[in-house]
Amino acid sequence: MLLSLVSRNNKVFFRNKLLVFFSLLSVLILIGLYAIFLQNLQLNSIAEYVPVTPEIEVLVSEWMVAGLLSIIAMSATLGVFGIYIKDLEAKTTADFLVTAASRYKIQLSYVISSCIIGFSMTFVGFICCEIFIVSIGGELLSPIAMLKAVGILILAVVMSSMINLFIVLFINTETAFSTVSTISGTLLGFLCGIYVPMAVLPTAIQSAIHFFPVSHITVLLRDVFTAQSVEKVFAGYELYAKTYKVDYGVIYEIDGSILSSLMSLLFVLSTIIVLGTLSALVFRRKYK
Amino acid sequence: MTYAIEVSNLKKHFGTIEAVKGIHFQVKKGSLFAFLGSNGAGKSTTIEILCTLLEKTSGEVTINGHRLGTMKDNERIRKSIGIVFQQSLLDKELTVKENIIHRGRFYHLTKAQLIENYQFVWQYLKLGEIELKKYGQLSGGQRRRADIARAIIHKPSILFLDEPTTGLDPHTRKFVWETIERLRKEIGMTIFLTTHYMEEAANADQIVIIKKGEIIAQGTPNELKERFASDQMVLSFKKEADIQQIAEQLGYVMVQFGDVYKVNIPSTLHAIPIIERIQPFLTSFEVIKGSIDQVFIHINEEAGDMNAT
Ligand SMILES: Nc1ncnc2c1ncn2[C@@H]1O[C@H](COP(=O)(O)OP(=O)(O)OP(=O)(O)O)[C@@H](O)[C@H]1O
Ligand SMILES: [Mg+2]
Repeated sequence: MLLSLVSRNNKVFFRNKLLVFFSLLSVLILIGLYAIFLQNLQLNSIAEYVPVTPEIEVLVSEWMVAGLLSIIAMSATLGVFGIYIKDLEAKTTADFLVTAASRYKIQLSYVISSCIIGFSMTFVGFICCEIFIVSIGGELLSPIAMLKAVGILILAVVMSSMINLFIVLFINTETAFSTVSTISGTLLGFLCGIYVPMAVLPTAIQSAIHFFPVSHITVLLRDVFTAQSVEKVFAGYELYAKTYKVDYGVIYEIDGSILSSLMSLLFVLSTIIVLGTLSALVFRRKYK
Repeated sequence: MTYAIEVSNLKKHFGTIEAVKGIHFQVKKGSLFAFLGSNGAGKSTTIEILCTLLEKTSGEVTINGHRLGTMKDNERIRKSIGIVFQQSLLDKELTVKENIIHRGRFYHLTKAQLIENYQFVWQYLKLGEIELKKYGQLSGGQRRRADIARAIIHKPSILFLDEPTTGLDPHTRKFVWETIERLRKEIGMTIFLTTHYMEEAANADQIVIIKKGEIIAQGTPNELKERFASDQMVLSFKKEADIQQIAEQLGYVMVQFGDVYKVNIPSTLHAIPIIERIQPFLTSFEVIKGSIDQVFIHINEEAGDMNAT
């Protein structure tokens, strides 16, 4: 029955153009901004350190792609929870509750749907991004890097689902939900250091971003996606490589030391566990 | 166990609002039970409590022998009841068939059982022409058909309908009524419905009229008519008749409406002696049995007066 609920959610989501559109909105905004000026901005600033090569464009694209994929996970999973809000407001939930489905299973079905849909969209996004990179003269990720990327994406989706679950548990109307979607879609790009590179931001905001779990996904993905290009672009200028990585949030430097990928991973995992537990508590309070 | 539903001293408070104020009633198995009341009377609230969706504040409810309240009993109750909600709740993005099959799966039916049940509702509600259409694109009447089909996909023994005909055209209304009647007669389903319209309650086995959370009258349609609807005589007189004098002889109040006069009488039989007495002055007369519509209006007004004092 859980599966039937999930399959119903998935069908409703993919057939509702508005839900799909909203869940891709932040991605579309990002691609737009990138095409209009973000790309050039970055090309120019990297060119200040190293000689201009075609590899720089690839590097910048890979950097952008990493940000894009971490955003898809967030906005797609949030979009799926739009069904939860719709069901709640339209009282469709009542029509489920008179069957053998319990509230707990109904809620779980939204979480599972958000993970499935979040991952499908992220995975499709991943393939498109790889095709895009190759089309502008970049290289495919190595098989190991690909596995890493997929692993990170899975974590990204699960974490995003937990974060969004926690948020939507405090929302009861579609109006409130659209507001939250819009805010989240706009803020995400900033909070992951995508619209504005880390180095440009005031220190206080940088520290705040360090505490934003989704940004760690972005960092992990950037590290995987840009590894090959960074080597090529900064060949002979290794000193600048680290500056670039820190300035552009490919790695985090906290209190003068580099944060390891393992630490970022642990932070993501704890976020999943903490928010999962909190959501369960809020859920029980809300529907006791 | 002759009762499908037994309710005693049921109360529901929303904060300080007392939506249901201690009501009692019983619904016989296989009967058509009409729950009547104007807006905000507490009909939907009562239905939601009976369907395990809303927790009661106090009171006892037994449905098909299961006492509402514990998880186990509520689960058993859900299996044996179907509900057509006041609003449309199926998914607009899915087709009628997808909607019904999906909801059917939530009842733990086996695949074979589900297919068999679907064929049953398909034939009963004439889903042929609409089953592949998106629910969101259906007309109001078609939606109602899909709603009813969904409500009985697990073949419940009790069907609740919350204002099933509100906003429907006369033709669809008739279809809904025929379907309800067939479900009751052919399958023996107990029907519990709410409505604003007294005329719809006229073919119920029992009517309960609720106002502001309290039962203000109950009985069979005939009993209610006997008690609350007055019969009427419509008289027209010869030109030369002395109306003043007749009115004095009558013993009832007579009111003029255009060129006829109307007199309310306790029952149609009371007309006979009156007609005999005033026969010489009459050109024609008519005796009208009180309509069930009058009952509702009458009772509601009366209860309103009671509340005012
Ligand atoms: N969740 C709620 N919170 C507070 N008050 C409520 C709630 N649900 C219903 N009420 C109140 O309870 C009363 C009964 O409402 P209910 O919906 O049961 O009426 P109804 O008879 O179904 O009316 P209608 O014919 O308009 O559907 C109303 O005064 C309504 O405002
Ligand atoms: Mg109602």
